[in-house]
Amino acid sequence: MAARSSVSPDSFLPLTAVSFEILLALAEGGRHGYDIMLEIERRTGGRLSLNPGTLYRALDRLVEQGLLDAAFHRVGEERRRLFSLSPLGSAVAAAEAGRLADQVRAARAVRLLKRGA
Amino acid sequence: MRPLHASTRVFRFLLRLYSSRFHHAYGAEMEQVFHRRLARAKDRGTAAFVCELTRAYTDLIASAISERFAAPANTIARDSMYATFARDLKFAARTFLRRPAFFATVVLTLGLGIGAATAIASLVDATILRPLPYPSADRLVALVEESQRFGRTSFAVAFLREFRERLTQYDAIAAFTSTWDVTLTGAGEARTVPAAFVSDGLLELFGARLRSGRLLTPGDEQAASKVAVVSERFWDQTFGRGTPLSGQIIQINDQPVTVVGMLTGDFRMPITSSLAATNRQTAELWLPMATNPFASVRTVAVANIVGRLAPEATLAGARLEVARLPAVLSQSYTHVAADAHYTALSLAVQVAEPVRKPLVALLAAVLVLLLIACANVANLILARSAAQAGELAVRAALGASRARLLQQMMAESLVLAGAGTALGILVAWLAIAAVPSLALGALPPSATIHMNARAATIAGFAGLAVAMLVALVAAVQSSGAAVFSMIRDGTRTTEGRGQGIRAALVFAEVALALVLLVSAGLLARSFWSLSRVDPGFRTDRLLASNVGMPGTRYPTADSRRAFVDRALDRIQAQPGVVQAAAVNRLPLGGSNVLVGVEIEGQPQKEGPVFMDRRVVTDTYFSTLGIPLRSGRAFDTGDRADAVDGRADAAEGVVIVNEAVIRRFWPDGNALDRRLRLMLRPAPGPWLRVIGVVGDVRHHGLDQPAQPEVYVPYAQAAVESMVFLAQTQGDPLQLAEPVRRALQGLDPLLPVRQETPAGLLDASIAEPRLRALLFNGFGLAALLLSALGIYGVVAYAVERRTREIGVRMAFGATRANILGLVMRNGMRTVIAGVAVGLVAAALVTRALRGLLFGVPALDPPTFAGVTGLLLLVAVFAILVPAVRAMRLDSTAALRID
Repeated sequence: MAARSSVSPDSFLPLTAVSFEILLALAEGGRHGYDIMLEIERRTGGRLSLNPGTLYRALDRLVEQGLLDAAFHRVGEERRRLFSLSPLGSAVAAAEAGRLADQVRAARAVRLLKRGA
Repeated sequence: MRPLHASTRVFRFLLRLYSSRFHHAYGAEMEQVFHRRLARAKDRGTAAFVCELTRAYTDLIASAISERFAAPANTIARDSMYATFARDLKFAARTFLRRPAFFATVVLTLGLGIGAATAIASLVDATILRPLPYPSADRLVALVEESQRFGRTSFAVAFLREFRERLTQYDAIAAFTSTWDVTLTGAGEARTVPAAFVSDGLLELFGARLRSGRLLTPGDEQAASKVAVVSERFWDQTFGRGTPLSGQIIQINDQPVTVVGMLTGDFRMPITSSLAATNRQTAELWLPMATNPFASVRTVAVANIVGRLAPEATLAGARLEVARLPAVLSQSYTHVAADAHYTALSLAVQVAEPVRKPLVALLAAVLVLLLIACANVANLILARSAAQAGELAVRAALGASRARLLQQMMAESLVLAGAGTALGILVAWLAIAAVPSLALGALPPSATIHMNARAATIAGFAGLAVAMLVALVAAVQSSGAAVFSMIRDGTRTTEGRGQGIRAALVFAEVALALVLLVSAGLLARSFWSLSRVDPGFRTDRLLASNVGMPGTRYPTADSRRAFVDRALDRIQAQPGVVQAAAVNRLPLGGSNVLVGVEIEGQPQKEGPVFMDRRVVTDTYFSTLGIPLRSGRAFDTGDRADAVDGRADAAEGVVIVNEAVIRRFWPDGNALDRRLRLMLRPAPGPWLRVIGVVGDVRHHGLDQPAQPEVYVPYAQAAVESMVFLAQTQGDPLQLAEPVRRALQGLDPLLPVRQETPAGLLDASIAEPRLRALLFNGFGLAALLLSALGIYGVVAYAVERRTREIGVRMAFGATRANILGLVMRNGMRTVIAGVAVGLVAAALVTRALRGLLFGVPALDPPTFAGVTGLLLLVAVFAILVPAVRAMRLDSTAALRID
């Protein structure tokens, strides 16, 4: 844990759109790669449909950065890789959400966004 | 499932672009996601599927590049790879729209090359690779007799039963005849219909599907029932669409025939061409073989016999088995020689064979053209990237990573490749749509040619591959040390490795273009020779009217003779008709029947003699302009019917052609010799040869004339004849008057008219099209090579502007400069020509089968093409050379 605490979540901000979507998709629990893609599609109403290349490149980078944990997980006969948020990942996701919330508040203040939008 | 297979292979191949760590870690999962996305897209339709496939691949490439070249993860966040790539594509597209000349040239070149290649590939696929749209097509076998004299021939109808009884390697054997014209009356206007006689089981063998009713049965064969199966087209035309089948009776050759079945509209018989038949119409009516007029004649070969190999049988085994048959059959059939050669051939191969060689040649030619087009495109892209080298160097110095630069180059190449491929597919689609109207004629009508998904995919990947390769080369070329030296020394002095590659490309283009042009030249000369072959008879100003005199209305030979005499008188009386005659089958395009002939004094040691038999009226030879070589033509003295066996009958006479003399009476003395025809089960009476006429090319201008025997109509009044009218002016003008004259004599007479000139034209349509296509390709290749040469030389001149200025300052005259540029340019061209000539000499040997009247190593063609190419090259070099010559020396020195 000593190594982790030396890395501040804020140093990862701002996240790319794809990265944040992935973190969001895993906020409720671990998922497999295909399920992450489906969840992102569902949440964005089909606007963001990730192809395998982009998806796994992003997942790989997030794992390297320590924001995600990848563990193998037995499903019947197969071994499938399950991605889940690491504690650092949760912290970074929260930090990014906070940053975006600040921006929304600022937009409301200058009436770019209507109240309740 | 197959499409997924190929796409998976590509996916896996592209996966290897990633680092091995990434590949091993995520490869399997990525493939699964890929498949599931594809399956989803497939449900939405083909367009969605193709889009998804494209996006998946480009996304893979883009993220692979970023993974390979990316800086470590903890840096400034970037947008998703795919979004960046998409932006690059749009930027590339905008760049090109600002330089329309470059874009248009590349896209057009690629488009035409890919389009032509795809069209020809689809053609080849449909006609050679899959020529038979029948179930178990690869197990269908044609049984034929092969002889030195006549090539491949079919069999008499009686042999079908023999084959069925004696051959064990098949689970089905059946027979069919080539298309015969029969007359149809009693159902609307009288007309002739192309029909074929088939045995039971034949239609099933060719996968015929019924729309209603039934097919022919063994019972029909046994009883020689008067039934028929018809095509959907015949039905619609005769009874109207949607009329239900209910035992309608039609009159075929004036015999009542019940229609028992109707086939679906897509059924086609295969076309086999042999010495016996060159008719290429597709049958619309199928009658039982037992009702064929020659069904019981053992010496007339009308049946094409085909079989389907039994599951455990092999073609080799079948061949061995059938080869043993002649020895057995010769014991019960006297006219079968024990050493005759029977064999079994794959039906697919036999049907495709006439067109295989020419189409393969076409395919090779179009691929050469595609290569030349790709070389040109490569040259253009290389030139552009070299010109941009300076800009790239600056951007690299400012911090753009190699990955980004590569990505942008990829994007540009993809835009070019994509546009080129799209145009190519459009071109191919148009070309393929035009095929039927170009009437390639010899194409098996069983092949339906349409835009092949496989070919389009291949075309697409070809375009993509070319673009990628070229972009990579360009990227490699403009990276690394070369870039820095360019910034240091200015872009006008360094040649760079690029120049070497471009010169090599031009060299290759010139060599390939030469090979293509030589082939085109040889084919053009072949066609020209062919079109000048004398067919042996007059083809212009002739009108032919095919009629049928069915036995019910013309029961006796006398009645038919009387009709023909009256008809000839009537036709001759028409204004504009010079003379008239009649014959049973027209040369050049009618189906024909080979008849067994016994020659007096020449026992049949080598097997039966077969000849083409023509039944003609007296004025036939003069109407058709066939010269009489010796003896006399038929005249009224030959009128009595000798074969009727009447006491006062005149002797039977025949006239033969020169081919008969050459083969059977080489001493030249044919007059008064005798021969007899084996038309009925017993041989006919002896007939005396009274004249010899010139050869007529019946089967095609490139085929030698076959032995023919002419019998006077007076002595063999057959039922179906063609009336010929030699006209003063355009024969088609007289079509209506002649038709009315004939139908005035007999209103129920069906008349089908055509002109021999049209038939002649059709017989050379294929070589003409071939020559046209090859020459088209050749010309395109010449143009592309000229553009390629011009581009390289112009570019070289531009790069060496300063050097030229220096030379001028040191006293070089304008002429010197001109000579310098010309020499440098011509060096590559001459090297290309030299290699091209050697290659052409080797390649044209393969074309020998397609050439006519021209040797494969024809000096005038080789010399002429070389001269043409050199001339064009000189002009292509001259333009930039002259520009170099006109350079102002001080301006040249000032440029940097």
